[in-house]
Amino acid sequence: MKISRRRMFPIYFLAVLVLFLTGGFTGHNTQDNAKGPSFTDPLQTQSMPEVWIRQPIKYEKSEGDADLVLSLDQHLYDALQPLIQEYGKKHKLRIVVNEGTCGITSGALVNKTVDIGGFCCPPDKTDRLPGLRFHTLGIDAKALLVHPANPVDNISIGQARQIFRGEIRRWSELTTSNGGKGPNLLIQPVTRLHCKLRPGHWRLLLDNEDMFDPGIQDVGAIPDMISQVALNPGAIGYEVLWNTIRYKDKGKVKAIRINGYSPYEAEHLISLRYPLYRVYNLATWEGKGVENPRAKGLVEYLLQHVENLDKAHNIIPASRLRKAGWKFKGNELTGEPDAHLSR
Amino acid sequence: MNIRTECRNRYYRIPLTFKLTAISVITGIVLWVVLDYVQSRRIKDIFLAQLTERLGHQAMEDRLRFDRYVKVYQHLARLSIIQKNFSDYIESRKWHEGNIAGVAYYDHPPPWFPSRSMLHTLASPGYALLIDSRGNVREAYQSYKETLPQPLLHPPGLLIEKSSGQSYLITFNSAPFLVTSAPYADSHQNLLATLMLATPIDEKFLNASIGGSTNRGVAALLTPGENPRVLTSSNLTAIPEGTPLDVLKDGYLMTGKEFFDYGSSELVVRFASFISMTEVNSLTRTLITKERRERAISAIVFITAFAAVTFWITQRIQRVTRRVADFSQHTLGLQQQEIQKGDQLHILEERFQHLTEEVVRSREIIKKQAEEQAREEEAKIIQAKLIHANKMTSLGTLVSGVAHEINNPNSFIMSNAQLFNDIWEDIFQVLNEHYKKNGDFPIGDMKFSEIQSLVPRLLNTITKGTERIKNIVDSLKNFARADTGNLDEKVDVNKVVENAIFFLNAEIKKFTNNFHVTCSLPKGSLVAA
Repeated sequence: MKISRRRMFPIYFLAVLVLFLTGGFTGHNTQDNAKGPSFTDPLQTQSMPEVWIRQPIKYEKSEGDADLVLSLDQHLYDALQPLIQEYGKKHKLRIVVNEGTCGITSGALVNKTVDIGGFCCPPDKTDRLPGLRFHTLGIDAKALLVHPANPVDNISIGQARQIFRGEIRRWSELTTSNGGKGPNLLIQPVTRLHCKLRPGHWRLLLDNEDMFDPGIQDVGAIPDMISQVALNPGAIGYEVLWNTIRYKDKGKVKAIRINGYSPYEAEHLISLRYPLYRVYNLATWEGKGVENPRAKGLVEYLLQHVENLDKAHNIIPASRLRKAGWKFKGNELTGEPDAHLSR
Repeated sequence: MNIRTECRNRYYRIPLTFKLTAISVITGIVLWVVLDYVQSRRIKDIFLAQLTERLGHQAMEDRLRFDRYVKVYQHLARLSIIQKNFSDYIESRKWHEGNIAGVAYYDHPPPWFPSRSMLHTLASPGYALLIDSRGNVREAYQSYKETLPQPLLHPPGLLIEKSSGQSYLITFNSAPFLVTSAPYADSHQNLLATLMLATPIDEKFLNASIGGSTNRGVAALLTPGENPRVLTSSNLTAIPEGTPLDVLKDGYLMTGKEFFDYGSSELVVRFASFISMTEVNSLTRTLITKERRERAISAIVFITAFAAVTFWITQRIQRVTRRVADFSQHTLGLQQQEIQKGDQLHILEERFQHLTEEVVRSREIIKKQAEEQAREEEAKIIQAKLIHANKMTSLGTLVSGVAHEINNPNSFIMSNAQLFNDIWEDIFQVLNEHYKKNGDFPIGDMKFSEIQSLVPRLLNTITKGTERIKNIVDSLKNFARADTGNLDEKVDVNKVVENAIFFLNAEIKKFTNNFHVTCSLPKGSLVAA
């Protein structure tokens, strides 16, 4: 039996509609099970011995007679220094700021040697120590980075996941902006699988290390991520945009769009049309023996002035996220907006 | 002769080839010293820059190797718990039933842990601990002689959680450690045990992480802060623990102070790579020595070539000197001194100067002679002109005198001729009466009838003759008159031409009988001079 084209049209239309509604074109929903958790439950806290709970904050000897001691991850260290110094000068406080990582900050909080800790990830259960409160400063797009000579400048989040899983192996399997094929080059995914226990960050791409292709090149430091992508024409990695500026001496890289949305445009991240991001939190102590009113004052000041940060840091303030329906508990960002609000 | 002149003479006595060769050698030596300083420094700088860049790459490679090695431990833990002998061993234990009798120690790999050959391929942890579900260490394998650190003997729950599934870097008693753990659960997901691997991040660890090659330089962990110190290094003999970074700056080239950004590590350290400056200096020295040797060969070749060219030029100069001497002697007839030995260029200069002076002198003589001759000729012309002028003056005077002398009698003749004409007219009346009455009669030898027409003609001829004499005398007077006019008045050109012809008439007639002049200007017209 021969069916005319006109009769087949409704079938095609329905098929296309179904595909569209199920995300078949974007590769979005079919890949969502690959995405790790964005946040942890703020009610889950790490149980600690009573001795530890009673232990007061005690600075390291090297901090001397500091009024306040902070341990911040590398990005917050760069971003917040001007505001912290301004606050210190205004209130005549001697504030010591140590540069570190989420792990170092977590270690300093466990050891109770700092008043404020700065994280570039949402807290894990192991970070939620008794007496510790988290305050979200904002979020920042995590950009997919490629070699600047790579003509591919847009991929879907599904394709990104396939690349890092090793299911897409050559750039020629992808298309360029003018509709042509990508270069006939082997794709070399470069990863920095840091903060494995914490939610968000790279886990928004693939939940855990075992989901990544064994052929990935995993690096331990941010400059190595930039240099590895800059050196290899087939490489793809990820980093926040600030680090491409901070480590520009390590090489030139290009941030590509995801699902057609640029990591440089805040509104796409707020609406989650751009799906990868990092969360910046400050943690302070509350309770007898550990609370420092000066720390509380500084955190409030930073939360109020986060909009004044240098635009190069690309940090979208928490206040904008609240307006867009992102979920907060107190000052802590605890969830993405509901789907109907975000897209 | 003063000392200066003596020195100069001595200097000129030295041959040019020798002098130029000596100058080029001295210049070469000075250049050598300057270039040696500048180039050696530049080579060192370039070499150091390249080495620093290479060291940067090496540091990055070291870091990547270190990262990979750190992760090997977490994979070793995960691999260990999926081995059959591990699961068999754990499941055969009845730890939950009895009290803790104490920790069982092994100094050889226990049955629940991979064999040494496998560890050799993967990683060699200092300690492997079997922890029961309540967090108590039950069994421990240690390849290190050092006692198990207290936090490992009684690991806090937070440490077990934080090290689960990842390599966690932590400090125990100021010593950096790597800790990783892998939980083992039964088929119902009940936790039975946890395998925890721990190893100190020490010289052995760093050596193994960067590949153990001795010529790769030294990898080290540094404490953070303003005055970093070495926490540990891959070569403690070269860079011992606790060495301040400032002390190492002179002896080592250092790069790559980067964080371990695992995000799971609380170890506040920076990773750095060092290359001994002794090695750098040795390499630089070898390069500079090579460069010096090449420069020396180049200099010798250059000086030899320069000396050869100088010699050839001096030979040409000598030839030119001889030619100048020959020219002076044979063409100009100058007496030349014998050609001396010494600075060929100076000799040529002297010869040429001598020749130039001679030429200048000769030119001056010739010029003077020419001027003298010109003066003499001019004097002669002036004299001739003076004579001529004198002659003309005398002639004028003479002509004036003669004209005066002629004019007087001519005036008598003219006036007398007029008078006689009047007389004749009166006499003629009388004679004619007489003739009419008496007929013809003789007067002198002629008859009155003949005389009566002849006498007026004669008198007319006399009058015309005297007028002509007067005109000639007037013309002569005009010609001889010294006229100092400015020639700014109008002239009757026709008159001038007529006068000239009048004077020259006799001369013209000598040459032609057919001389005619036609004046185109109207008679009496005046033309501006």
